[in-house]
Amino acid sequence: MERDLTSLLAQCARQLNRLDGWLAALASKRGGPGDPYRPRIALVQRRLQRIMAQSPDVVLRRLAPPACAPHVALVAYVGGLVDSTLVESGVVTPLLSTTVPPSEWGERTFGAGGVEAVDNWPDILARLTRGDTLVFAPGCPVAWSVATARYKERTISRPKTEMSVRGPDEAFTESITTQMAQIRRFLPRPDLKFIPLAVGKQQQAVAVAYIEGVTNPALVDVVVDRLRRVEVDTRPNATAIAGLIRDHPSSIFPTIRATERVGLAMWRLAEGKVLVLVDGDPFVLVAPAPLADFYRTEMDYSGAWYDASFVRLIRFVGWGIGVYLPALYLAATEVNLNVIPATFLISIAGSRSGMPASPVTEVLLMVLVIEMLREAAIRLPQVLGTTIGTVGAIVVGTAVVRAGIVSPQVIVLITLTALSFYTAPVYELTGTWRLVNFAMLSAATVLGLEGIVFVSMLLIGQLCRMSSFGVPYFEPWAPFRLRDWGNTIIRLPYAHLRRRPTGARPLDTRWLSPPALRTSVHLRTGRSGRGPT
Amino acid sequence: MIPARAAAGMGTLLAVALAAAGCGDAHPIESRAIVLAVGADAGRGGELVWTFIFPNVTASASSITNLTPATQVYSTHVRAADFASAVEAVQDRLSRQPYLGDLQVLVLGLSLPAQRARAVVADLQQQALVPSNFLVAASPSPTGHLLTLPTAQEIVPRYFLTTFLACHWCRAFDWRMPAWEWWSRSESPGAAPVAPVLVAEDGDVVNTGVAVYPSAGPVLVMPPDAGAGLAYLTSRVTRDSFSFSSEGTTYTVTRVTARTRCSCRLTGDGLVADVAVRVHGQLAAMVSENSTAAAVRARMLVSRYVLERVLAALAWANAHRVDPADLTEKAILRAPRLTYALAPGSEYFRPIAARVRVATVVETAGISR
Repeated sequence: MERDLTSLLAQCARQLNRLDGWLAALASKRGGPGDPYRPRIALVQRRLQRIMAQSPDVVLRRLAPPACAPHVALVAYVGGLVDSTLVESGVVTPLLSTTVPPSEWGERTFGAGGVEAVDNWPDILARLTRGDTLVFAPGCPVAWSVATARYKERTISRPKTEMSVRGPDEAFTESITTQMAQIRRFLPRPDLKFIPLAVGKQQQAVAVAYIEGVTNPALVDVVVDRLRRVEVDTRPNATAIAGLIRDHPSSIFPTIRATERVGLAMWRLAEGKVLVLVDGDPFVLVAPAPLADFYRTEMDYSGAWYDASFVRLIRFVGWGIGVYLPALYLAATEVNLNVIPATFLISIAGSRSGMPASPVTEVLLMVLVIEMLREAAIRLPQVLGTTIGTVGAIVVGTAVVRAGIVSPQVIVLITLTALSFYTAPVYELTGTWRLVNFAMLSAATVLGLEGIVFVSMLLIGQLCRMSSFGVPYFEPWAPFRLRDWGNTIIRLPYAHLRRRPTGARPLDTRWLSPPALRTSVHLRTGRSGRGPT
Repeated sequence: MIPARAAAGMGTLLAVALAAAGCGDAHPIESRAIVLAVGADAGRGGELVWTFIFPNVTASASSITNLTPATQVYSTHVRAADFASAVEAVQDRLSRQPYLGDLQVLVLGLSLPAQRARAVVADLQQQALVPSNFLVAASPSPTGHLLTLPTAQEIVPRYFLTTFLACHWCRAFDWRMPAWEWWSRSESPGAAPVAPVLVAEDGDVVNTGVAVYPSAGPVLVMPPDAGAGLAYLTSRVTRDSFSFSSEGTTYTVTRVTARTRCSCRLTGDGLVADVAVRVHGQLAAMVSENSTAAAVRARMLVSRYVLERVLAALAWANAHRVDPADLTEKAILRAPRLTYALAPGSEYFRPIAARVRVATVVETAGISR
């Protein structure tokens, strides 16, 4: 009999749970708060226990505040998410001493800040899981939510994916509040604005940062609008949000940039772009991000202008080698022999004597080996990764040649290509160009130089067609904006960088105020009459 | 999802690319035999003896030290009436398809009549796969001996004859003539193409003179003085040098270069040419007398020397009724009616009456010597 009763109770509990789910679904469909809070402490406690499945980290404390006597109040919080000292001093202690009626509690009653009244269950649960402490009092039509969240947060460290040898070396952390503080410290100006947003069903905390008066408001509106439209059931990270708000989501070309460097984010803000900060992800999104933007690093602005310009040019040369060199080799050895100078052609022919496989097989084999080594080096622990890389280089570079499987020229070629790919400062773009390289290889094998031209035309056409948050993706090449070349293809001296890049259509294009350009009379040198006196 | 129109467009583009690429008959490098040089000698029964030179396919950067000079290139000889037949005949003998895209040298046997030699060059010019910039040279037959001359001066992937002919600063006169220029002159009435005569001697290649190809008859070889005069007449002097003895003093003039301007016109019974040669050289040997006086004396001697040779070249041209200096062609181009009247390659010669002026600058060698 007792067993039957127990099973009946369990069934009832399950049915109640289902009913709660339906009610919540109905409420969310209506768009209103739905499922209102009712101040019956016993029911509240049972419901919390049921919803949280009696999780050990959810703390439910029954207190007897004088204001509620002879009844008890319920305090609920998640153990690992709150500052327990703050809970004790800011919530529990004031609660046990106050005589103010529960409906009048607020910031005056609780010692902690961020006190809000909540009147529906979805909000109550969202705040509970976010780290707030909830106070339920009998007869009070609202539950009080006190901001007591305090996460275990790692300290600010160096960037792991965007290395630099000079300049500020600070990476973002996972906490959105820390991210905002980091940006504020780099840009201590009152017109730096943050728009807080809650994205998705899990109310992921996201903030949009921009500089008022510099950033185009239309750009801010577009970013905010796209973020508000994100409806995702799980807690999205920066990559997921980037994938959901960016232009051309299916394209292999990234149209939004992620950075973990605070300095780079600051530079982009100063150019009139928008940052999207995502709580829990140390990567901050930068929008818009045309292709040329992926070739600019923070170090470009920390080093000498000539060095930065040279390095930028080297990146483009690296791109050319990475995408075109293996394809040109295949075109020249498989189809268009006449484009190679005779001495080089004989040299290639000599090195290929005795090789069992065709050049295209060798190139594809080596590309495969390089990709496997790369993947293995990422997955393995750092020490082991270095060893594997070294062993791989020796084995692949020497033994394969000696074994007569691959010609030495192909080894040189593929090594150069693999190195060239990594001149792209952003990892996503490295993957993109590898895919383009495969297309080039295929076209070059079948059609020779004509195939390379064919794929290049398709590539340029596609890049010209794309855009990133309203900015042409291939600018400043197409549309041709010569003025922007000074801060894209090269990096002009700061004295010549008078205007912001025009890509993001900033409201204020002046970056350097004219008075700063005037050299002091005492510092002028030159012809007589104009020099120092 | 690619729209149907875009897919159709891409498919059409791909089909056009495949059809237009001409890669259907393209062969990879491992199935091609690279032809570096071709020799053509007179054969029996109107046929020519063709020599094709290929680099040793086993000559790679790592194996090059193991190869003797004699094994760095190999040759194949075939008999055929024309070049296309010769290529087919060679193909039958090889395991690879001959690749003519890097042909560098054509050596014409002196035994070939001039008209046949012109036809050979024209034949190669018409081959779409043969580049028009290969160099033309002449050699006493058989040419195969010269083409396969073992030498340690160059190793594969470089070919000795190519670098020998291309090194215009190595010799006094630059006789390089790419095939397109040779063919163009052979087709121009009044012009006669020339080629350096190369002979293999004691393991070396020696330039023994200049062969001139008239529109008919045998190939003519200019004597050394007339050949030097032709070089001065046609601005082909790159690094001449000579010594004179005068009044007990020896003058050596080096680094001699020359620039020549000709004004030519046809008259009723011949061709009148006004030739101005500007010679520049450096007085190399130290002389005991005042250096300015030495330079003046050397200048006179050089002018006389150059004048004698230019006159010798003109006399040779008049004697053989052929104009290797292209003075006749220049005169014809000034007479449009005549230009249109003459057929390509037709013979046209008028006796040349020339007024030659030589202006010489001889500098005394300074510290830069």
